[in-house]
Order: sequence, then structure tokens, then C-alpha cells
Amino acid sequence: MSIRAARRTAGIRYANREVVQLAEEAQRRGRKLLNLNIGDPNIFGFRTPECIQEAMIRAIRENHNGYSHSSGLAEARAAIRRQAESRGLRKVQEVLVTNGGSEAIDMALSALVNSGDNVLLPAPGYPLYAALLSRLEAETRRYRLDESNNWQPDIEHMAEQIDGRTRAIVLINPNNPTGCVYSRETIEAVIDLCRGHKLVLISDEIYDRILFNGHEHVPSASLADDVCIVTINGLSKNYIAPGLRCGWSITSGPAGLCEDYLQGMRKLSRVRLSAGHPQQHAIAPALLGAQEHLPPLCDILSRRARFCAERLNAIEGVQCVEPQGAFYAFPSLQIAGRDEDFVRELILETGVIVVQGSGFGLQGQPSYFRIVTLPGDEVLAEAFDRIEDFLGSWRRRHPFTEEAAAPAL
Amino acid sequence: MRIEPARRTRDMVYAVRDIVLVAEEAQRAGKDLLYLNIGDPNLYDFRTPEHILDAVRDAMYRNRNGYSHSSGIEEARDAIRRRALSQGIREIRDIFVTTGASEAIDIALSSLVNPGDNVLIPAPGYPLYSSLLCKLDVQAREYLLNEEEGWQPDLADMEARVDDKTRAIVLINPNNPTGAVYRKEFIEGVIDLCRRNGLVLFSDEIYDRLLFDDHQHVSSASLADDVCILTFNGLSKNYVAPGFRIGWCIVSGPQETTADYLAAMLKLTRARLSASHPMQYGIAPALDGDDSHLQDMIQRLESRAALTDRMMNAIEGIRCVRPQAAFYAFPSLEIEEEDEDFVKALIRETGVVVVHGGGFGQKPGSRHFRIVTLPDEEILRRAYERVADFLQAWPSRRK
Repeated sequence: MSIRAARRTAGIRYANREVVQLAEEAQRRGRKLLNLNIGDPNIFGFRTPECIQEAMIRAIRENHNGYSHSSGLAEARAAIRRQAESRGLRKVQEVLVTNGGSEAIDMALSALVNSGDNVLLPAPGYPLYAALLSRLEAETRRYRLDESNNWQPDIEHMAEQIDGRTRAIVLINPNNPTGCVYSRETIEAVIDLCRGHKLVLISDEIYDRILFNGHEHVPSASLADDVCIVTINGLSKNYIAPGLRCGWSITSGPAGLCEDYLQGMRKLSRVRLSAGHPQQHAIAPALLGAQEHLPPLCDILSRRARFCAERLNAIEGVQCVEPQGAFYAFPSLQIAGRDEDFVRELILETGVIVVQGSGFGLQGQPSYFRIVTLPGDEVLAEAFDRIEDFLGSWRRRHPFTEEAAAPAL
Repeated sequence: MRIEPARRTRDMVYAVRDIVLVAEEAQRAGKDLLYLNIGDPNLYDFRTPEHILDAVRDAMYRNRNGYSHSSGIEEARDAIRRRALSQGIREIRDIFVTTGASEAIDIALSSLVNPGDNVLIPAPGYPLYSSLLCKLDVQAREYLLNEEEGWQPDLADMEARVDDKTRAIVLINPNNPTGAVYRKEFIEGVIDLCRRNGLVLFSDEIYDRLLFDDHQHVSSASLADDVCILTFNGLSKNYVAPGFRIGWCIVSGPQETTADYLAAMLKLTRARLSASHPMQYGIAPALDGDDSHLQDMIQRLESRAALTDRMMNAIEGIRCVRPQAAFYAFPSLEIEEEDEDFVKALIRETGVVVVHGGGFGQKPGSRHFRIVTLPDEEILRRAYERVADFLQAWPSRRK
């Protein structure tokens, strides 16, 4: 007799990690793997800034190895608050330190939605949100990001998704997987929707310091003090330390509006005792430090982003919007057939590992895939050569016709 | 207008941490606080073994600061497997490393139960389980631990609570908050109940090395290879590193029984990416080490447990089963008032911070409080003297 798993797990798919199994198969077939699939800067030679490492090692030596306060270390929370206020976040009510941005998102959703409620997620968008909603037996509703408008959210489409059971809108800005940075007008329009429908805005800004070519990031919570906004951030990306699992949420808005919801989040934080303690001692040094690692990081990533866009756009049947931040690009493919099949064959035949667009909640035509722009220039160049060859052969074997192209979503 | 929180948070109480609010109030009022409430050895005279700290430091210098595999790093999982095999755990299907045992338990429950299902948890018992079930909108059914039997599980009471919506039984062994170590025949009784009803056994063994007076710990999964058993453990207690948030789950049982459930748990581990990466490098050195820290640690814990046993049982109106392991004691109180009222007044009046029995669940009508026996003997002595004086003056004791 087999133990039945809970229903909530049935709908969970996590393409990012599922392609890893294909990659293992490709390796067994003797392919030389090129990893363009993992948003982990440390495996591509980027290093955690010394000051963070030193602060954490000092904390371990000084016996900060017990539990911390459930909400996080006071000194870390003060630094987060100070940075938030200096960036214009208004009416900050609470800062909670968590095991990665992932746990902050988990708490923000778990404390908010009942089964049957729904939350608006971007398409394409980072798959963690849909997995968490599935776990909570809540409904995912997708709003379109508009490729023809540099991947800004389609506000009209977003508004159409809202009904009486909608509790929150999720913005990921800068975006994973598109690399788009949202304009002030876009964010203001989303805030208006939240205001009008009494929704919580969950603003995931984990890439907010990784910006290219003069693009500026506007924190959502700097644009309103009358809406409940949960801003998600952490050390993972801006400070090149994803494996420390050190994130946080900043809840802002009118005290009365946020209070009950915040109590719910605090309760959840108490249940799991605390976030990792030694790493929390690195937060203040990171946020208050000189940020010397950022200019070279942004410089190299912006050159790679430009190279990716230019090289991909030179391939027939591929179009790529140039990323404005983070370390992803999300090119479209004019192909017949399912993106999943294309990517599977691409990995098995060429060893180039990317993730298909449907893994980010986009179904139908055109097809997309996500690439991580972290690898070195030579790896990227080699990968794009292989993609070009493979795409040519795919298009010969599966002729593309305009009729096959139905609009996505 | 207010943002309405999810129903799952409404009934969630966490006495261990909620009592901290009362303590903060007492501190503001100028009381000299004696903390007997937090199961965190690092706050007292216990330290993480050096070689574990060195391993984490070296991992950071080797840039192991990115994500790990979702199930954990290979060398850690191998060490966990070796240890499990040496304890006699059979039919190991998989091991995954988590952000504290708390996350392992969360993943295991979330992957198993649907709304309307129920899970059997011990009363008294560690409150994480009831909070997580509350989060999942699932009923926690309490079975009694039998104080007269040295806090062994009451198998008849357990069996009476199983119905066709029951999915799992939770055993915490050694137990928090009683300090009891379960005898083999009781564990076999629980396994048999699981076997007959197709239930999963959650065996929380996070204190399994902290044993006193030659008591032996029997790992549940060493007693059966035909039942799906999840064994939870971690670095928090045995290796004095609760703030690392490193735990794990060992899944054992027949392949065909466990396969679907295991696949669901692995999905959830993938969604949250990984446990802290550098911390995982502490696991193999810990489990493969010589455990030289344990002897000294156990010696101190044992004499503190003995002191607790002696002094508590000398107080009229208190009875205390002597702890056999871990670092807790759960004395009963002969008072008419609720133990919550007693404990809050105790904190406010004397500064001795303990947690009321009601926070852990208990037999209806009984009164208890939980003591953390980690502080040194001097502090424990002062605390117990204050408890004795306070209880003597307590209204229903004066009659």
C-alpha cells in the first residue's frame, strides 16, 4: 500500500530544478554541459564580499550560534530599516529577517490567503510563488508582462484578473526571468489597483542593486503610504550570498491597516523559532558598507546582458529584449512544437542547459526560454553557437508556420 | 479598514515565545529575571564544538556560499546515512537536509495531510506540531503521555484516537517537555498501530544523544522495515548549534509505500531551493567526530536534572518525574487555578521564567509547568527557592 501525498503537492512543478535531471542524462551521454540555468552567482566565480564572510565567521567565533529573536537580530533589523527609509520607503511598520527571501514570501502569503483565495502573479515569473500558493491551496492568476513594451506589466490585463477573492498582487522588480526594471508609472498603476481593491502588494526587489546602463530602481513602497506593501529583499543576489539563506520582509503602510496581518506573520515567524543566526550578523555590515563590489558586478553583468541580447537577436527565429538589471534574459523563439520538447532536446543534444518559458507560467506561442547571464563570455558565446546550430536543425525538422503561432495567455 | 489575516494564523498560539512578552514586562518592572524557558544551550554554559565551527568557516572561504543541492550536500547526506545505519535504521529511502528540523517537519506534514485529515500528537508535546497543523487547516489530536508511567505514551489512549482520517502519529523521543526516553515495548506498540492503520510515524529524535543515567535511546526506524517512518534530527541540540538551523529527515520503509510521499516532499524541498550551504559542512565533522563534547555536556545536564528532581520534589504541592534525557522537566502543580495564571504571576512576582503546562497540552484538569534545566546549578537553586516561596503563598495553597 502506498502513502498518498497531500493534494497541495500535485500541482507543484519546479522546472528550474527539473532540467537538472535532463542535464545529468546529457552528461551521461558524454555532452559537455554549459550551465545557463542556475541563478547562483557563486558557481560562476563571483565571490561573497569579504566583509560579509568576516562578519559571519566572527559571529560564529563569538558564540552567536543559538537562536536569534524570531523577528531577527535587532542590529540587522535596524540596518534594514535605515536603508529602507533612506531609499524612501514610507511608513515602515515591521522588518522580519527570514531564511532567504523564499521564507519571507512564504510567510507573507501564508499569513494572508485562505484556500480559495487568489493572488496575481506575473507571467512569466519566478516559480516559487505558484508553488507556495499551491501548497496553501490558493489559486494562482497570471497577469501578462508585455514583451513589446520591454516586459513591463500589462496593467489592463492585471486589472481584469482581480475579483472578490483576490488578496494580493506580486511584482518582481527587477524581474526574474526577463531582467526588466519597472517604470515609476507602471508601479504607480499597480499601487492604484491595490488601493482600489484593498489588496496587499508583495514587491520582490531582491535584485534591486543589480542595474545596468543608468536604469533606476524605484521601490514600490516609496510611492505610497496608504497601501500595505510587503517588500522582499536579502543578501542572496545583491551581496552574492544565496547559500547563506538570509532574507527579509519590510512591511509598510498605515499601522491600522497592516497590524492584524503583521500579527499573523509574526506568529508564523515564532513557530519556526528563528532565521539562521550567525549570518544575520552580516546584514548590517553588508547594508552599511561601501558597496565596493557592486560597480564591477553591475559593469560585467551589463556587458554580458548586452552581449546576450545582441548575439541572440542575430539568430534567425530568436528575439531578445535587452535586460536592464538582474542576471537573466528571456528570449522568444519562433518554433513549431512545445518549448518543453525544444529545451529537452537542446539539453540532451547540445549540453546547453536553459529553462523553458512554460516553467515560468507562460503557455502557448511564441515559445520562450530563460538564460542566466552569469557565465563567462566564452561560455556564453559557445552556448549561443550551439543554440544557433540546434535551432536551425529544429526548424528544418519542424517547419514553422505563422498559423502555428497563437498568442500566449 | 484592516487587512484580514489568513484563518490559519488565528488559532496559532506559541506559548514558549508568547511567555517572553510577560518576561519583558517583568524586566521593565525591575525584576531580576532567571530564564528557565528557552531550550537554547548556547545561552548558557554550552558551546558549539570547535571543529564544527572550523568546518563552516573553511566552507565559506572555499566559496560554498551559493545554493546547495535541494536535498543537501552529498558529504553531509552520506554522514547522516552512515549514522542512521549504525543506529540500526533499515530500508533508508532518502535523506534531505533542511533549515532546522522545524522545516523538515513542516515539509513532511505539508506533503501528507489534506484539510479534514488528522494527526496524533503527544500531550504534553512540543508546540511546533500543533502550530504547523493549524497552518495546514488540519486537526491535531492529542494523545496522552502517562505521568504515572514516567511519561511513556498511553497506547490505549493513542489507539482510541485513531480514525479513518488519521494520517500520522508523532513521537518525540527523548521528549520535550518531559525529558522521558521511550521504552522499546512502547515504541513497538506505536509502530504496530501505524502498521495496522497505514499511518506514517514521525519520530522526532533531536535529543537522542543527551541521555542520563545509562538510559538507552532506541530509534523507532530500527524496529521496523515495513512501516513508513520519518526520523527527524539535526545539529541544534546534540551538537549545540540551534542557530545554524540545520536539521534533516531520514525517510525509511518499503519502497512502494514511500515513493509517492517522498516525491511530494522532494518537490517542496526544490521549491525553497536549499538549506544554508556553508552550515551543511558542519554535519559530517559533527557526526563523524569523536563526540568528545558530549561527555562533559551530559555530565552537567545530568547533575542539573538530578538537582531539579531533588528540589522540585521537596516542594509541597509539586511532583516531578526525573528527566532521563534532554534538558527539560515537567513538574505537576497541585493548585486549583489555571497553570497559565500561576506562571504569569510567578514571572511577574519572582522573575522566574518558565512556561505553563497548558502551552504544551496536558491531561484535562492537571497543572504543570516546563523548566529548562540548562542554567547552572546556582541559578537553578535560586529559581527553585523562589518557586517554593511563591507556591507557598499562592491562594489555593494557603487554604
